[in-house]
Amino acid sequence: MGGVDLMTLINDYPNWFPFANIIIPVIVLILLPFIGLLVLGIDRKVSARMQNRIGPPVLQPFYDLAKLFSKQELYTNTSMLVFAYAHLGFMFTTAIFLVFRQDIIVIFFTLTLSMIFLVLGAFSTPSPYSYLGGYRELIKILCIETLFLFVMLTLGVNAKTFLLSEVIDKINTPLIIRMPLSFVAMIIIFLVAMEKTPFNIPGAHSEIVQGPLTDYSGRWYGLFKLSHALEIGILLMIMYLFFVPNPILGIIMLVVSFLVVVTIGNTTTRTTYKGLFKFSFTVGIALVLINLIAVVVFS
Amino acid sequence: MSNGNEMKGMSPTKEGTTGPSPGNPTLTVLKLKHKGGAKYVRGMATLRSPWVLHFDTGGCNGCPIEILAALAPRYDLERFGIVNKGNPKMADVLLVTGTVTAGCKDVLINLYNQMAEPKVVVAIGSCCCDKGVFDQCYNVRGPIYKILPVDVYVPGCAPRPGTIIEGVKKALALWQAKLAGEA
Repeated sequence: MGGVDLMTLINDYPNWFPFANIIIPVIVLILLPFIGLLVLGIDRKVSARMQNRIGPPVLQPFYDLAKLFSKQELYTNTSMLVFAYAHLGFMFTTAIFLVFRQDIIVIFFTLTLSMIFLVLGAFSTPSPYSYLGGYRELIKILCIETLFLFVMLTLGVNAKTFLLSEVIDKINTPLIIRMPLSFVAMIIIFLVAMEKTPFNIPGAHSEIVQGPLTDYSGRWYGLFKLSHALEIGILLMIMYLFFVPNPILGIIMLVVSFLVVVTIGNTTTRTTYKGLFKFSFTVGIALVLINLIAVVVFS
Repeated sequence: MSNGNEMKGMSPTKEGTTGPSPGNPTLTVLKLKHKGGAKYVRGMATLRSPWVLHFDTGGCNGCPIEILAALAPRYDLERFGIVNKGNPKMADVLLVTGTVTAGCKDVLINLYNQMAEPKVVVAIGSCCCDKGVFDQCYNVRGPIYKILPVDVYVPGCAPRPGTIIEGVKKALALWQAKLAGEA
């Protein structure tokens, strides 16, 4: 019973102290990029240990970011800088909508818009590798954001509202019981967001230089690193949503999904963009559609 | 140094044994005049995250193999934060191997110009440091010090991975010393 009391206490965070319903989301918002960078650092360390290497320190992404922001400013035109800021800005907007529990469809659209600005940034530079990476990024958006939209739809249909605060208020048992296949789809989305094989086709290392980010250097590349960390944080928060009344189970399952993603990344090789397309529009769509139909039928 | 014999700690042991001793796992850090502050952070961060661009200007492919050996799990350069980026715009360290041929000279200069400051150049192998066995060849435009400002020379034919790691470490320490001199 003590554990249950602790859980209700944790979930009752808006009443901890005055203005807690504003202050705690702001703290989460500030911590989110740091959590993302830490996850990326742990990923590099765990991957290294899996390959029998010593590996970089866990804080390596922070060192990388500090170095990138101290490099000389080099860019080919100014529009690519605007798109870099827009990418980070809309990722930050998504995080704001998420922590303040706004509409989940709007969360989906701002996240996708942020990705579109990444593609526009890639197309605004003269490098051919950047173009190729941009097209691959578009295919990735087509495949992955479709799954993400269906997960969001299932979430909304299940709760009969698209406002995240009401979705969370209506939760009695963890959503994973009604939406297990959607959670599997979220793991696939997380795998692609972590830029892991087999689906790291946009930035394919040693294949098309750095993909859509080929022409960015120094602090502008750092902006993309920062928004990537934010994206990881956003996806982890959405995955945590599936276990909402039970924080202990939620954190255990997030660690398990992280280990699954790292293991998949270290044991597979990269497919082509057609591989991602086929996988997403057969297995991925089947997962989310079966879940959506099941939720509609059994509600 | 040409055979890397001094660096016994870094040289591979017999097959089937426990593998190489990783040596000193921290990079050489020189003392900066002002501790704290933006310049100190910049120096520390660059020392901990040097991204490498490797360019072969023509040669026997021996030195590139040794560089790849240094990046592979046995020597694991990533424990120093060193990543092979393959993109001049993101690289901090330019590793040049092979004698500079006529066809590669302009490309080398172009790559160097695309790199953002602060940057260091490391010349690896006898052919790159001097013309090596390609001296007197009609198409050789080297040695490299006539083309680029080289920070560290790593001689050897081919230098061992340990020697290459030592060279990169020295290049970064040299760059930090430059920064300390300016501060």
